Amino acid sequence: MMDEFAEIREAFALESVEMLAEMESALLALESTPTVGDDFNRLFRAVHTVKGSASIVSADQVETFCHALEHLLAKVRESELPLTKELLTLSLQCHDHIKALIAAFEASDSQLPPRHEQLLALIAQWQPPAIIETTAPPELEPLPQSDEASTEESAAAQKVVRVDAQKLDQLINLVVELVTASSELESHVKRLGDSASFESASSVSLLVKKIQERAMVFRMVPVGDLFRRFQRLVHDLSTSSGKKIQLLTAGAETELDKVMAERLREPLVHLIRNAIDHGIEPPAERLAFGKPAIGTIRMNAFQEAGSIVIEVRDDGRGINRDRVLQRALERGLIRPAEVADRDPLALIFEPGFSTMEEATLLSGRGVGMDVVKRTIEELRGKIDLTSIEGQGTCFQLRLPLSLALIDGFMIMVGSDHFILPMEQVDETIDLPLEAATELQKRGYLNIRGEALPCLDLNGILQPDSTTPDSRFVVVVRQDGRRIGLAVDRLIGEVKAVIKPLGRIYRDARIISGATILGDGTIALILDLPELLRIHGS
Amino acid sequence: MAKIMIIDDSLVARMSLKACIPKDAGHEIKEGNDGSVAIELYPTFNPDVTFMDLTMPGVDGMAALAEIRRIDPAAKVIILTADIQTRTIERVMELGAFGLLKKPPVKEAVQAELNKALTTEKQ
Repeated sequence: MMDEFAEIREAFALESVEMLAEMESALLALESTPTVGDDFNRLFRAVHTVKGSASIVSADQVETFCHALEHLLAKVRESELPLTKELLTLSLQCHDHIKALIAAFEASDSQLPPRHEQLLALIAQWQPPAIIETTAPPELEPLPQSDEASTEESAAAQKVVRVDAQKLDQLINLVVELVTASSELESHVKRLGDSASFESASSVSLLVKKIQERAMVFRMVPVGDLFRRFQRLVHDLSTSSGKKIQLLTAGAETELDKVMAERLREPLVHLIRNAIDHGIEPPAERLAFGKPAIGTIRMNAFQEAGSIVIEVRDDGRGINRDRVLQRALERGLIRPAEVADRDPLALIFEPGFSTMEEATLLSGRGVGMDVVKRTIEELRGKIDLTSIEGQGTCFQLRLPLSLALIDGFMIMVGSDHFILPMEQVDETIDLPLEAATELQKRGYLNIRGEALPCLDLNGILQPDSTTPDSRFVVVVRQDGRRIGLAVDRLIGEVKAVIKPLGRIYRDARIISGATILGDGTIALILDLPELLRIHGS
Repeated sequence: MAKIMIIDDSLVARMSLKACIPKDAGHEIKEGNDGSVAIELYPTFNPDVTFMDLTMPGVDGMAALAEIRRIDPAAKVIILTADIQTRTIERVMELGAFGLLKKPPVKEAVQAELNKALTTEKQ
């Protein structure tokens, strides 16, 4: 249903462009021959169609405005009002206004374009010219007639070009391939030793990288597109659950990768369902606790420190930590001895966890919080949870700006290059020889008095190679825990284009992708959450 | 399983109507964007139910309804329209519309009307 709704919205965007063009051409034809004939009917139908479709996609302002205009035009059709030049001028201004309203709707901009009320009033009070002279004349700006003004208008219209998303994806995929191919070429040419060829190849690959940077921007969409779908969901679910809930959103203009927006939909739906199902109390219970009867879910998006943050916050009952622990024990997720030192909130993300006594219609669809977490991690993001009992719960999703680029930290294990996500790297430490033996024996390192759990990547990734004498530890952060990774060499920060791995690597779960370096070497991107899930315990 | 024809000049309107028709029922759906398509398609497709918009370029819904009822006096045509004025209702009923639905289509109403049409014997 949600997919269908999105498709319908896309169709609305395309259709309304068509209808506005139809409206404009009909109006221009009417300027020269103002009669209620075919051109007038074209105008009427276009307004009528936009109104109807706007009502379907819940573009309320567009619908209301078109309805008012249609009503006025109907009077003209029924010969109750004359078709005058002034009316055509007003209609043309309405055309521009509808265009602006639709643009605002698509950008989920709640601010109405200028002169909205004024135009509505003009439409509602429209009088044949003879009467106008005896009453107060409505303030009507003259239609921009001069060539200068109308070119300005059409220039503005030309600033936006609609392109099929699929075509754009194909182009971007090709650009990514091109980046790889050109850096391969560059390294081959370098080996040939001909400096003129190498220079040309370098400048080609520099240009290709610039093209790629520009191309990535095409894929960015405002998060508002995603948020808007949830208004409907919250509306429908609050009706069916008998709770009163409002959804408030902020930061709709924050941009994120289109593919990411699509992949985030399911997890966000789940978080909202959870908030409605487990979080927000029924109105009576809320009133009893001195809360407003209407529960609030806030979705907030913003950019912070090279990440995109999306928050889903409810003002419901919060999470009862004792009950979470109780349930985790019942489900055998933890042993009684562990109760004291496990974070109850983290247990919610464990597979097979659910605190709801009865499976309701809303949740219990076989998608648990573990799947939500996994999806976020697959997007190289992370999810955090805070909750205050009686006051509410907040899920915070932190995601990379782009799916195709990684800010990474490159290391070497044996003779192979690997990349760790930069945002998870805390610090790097020299690994003294004596500490290396301690690490191998106990799996822990003593770092400035801190007992740091440590994994030897040499053991995991390259069992056959010989370990060099001087090694390093990269301290990474996962789920709030610091973990050391022993590696052979540190290379440093890189910005890399991620190439998804082919079928052969599908079983290599700890590798999430690859990148080809400027000199043609391949570096594999480590899937840190997966690595720690498999080897962490 | 039934054959359904949807006639509306607006793609958005057709999509939203289709979204109201249960997919698992396996209905065969054909679409058209104006009244002349409806008239042309009707004899060969022979739909069990036709959903039709009124305001369309070329042959409008009113004319198409009249023509379809002339071709098949038992044709079941459900009219969809945004503004239900008494005069419009009277006119479409005179022309033999099976039912009238307000736009935007509401799932429950569409399904109720569809079921009614599919369970009513052709007379």
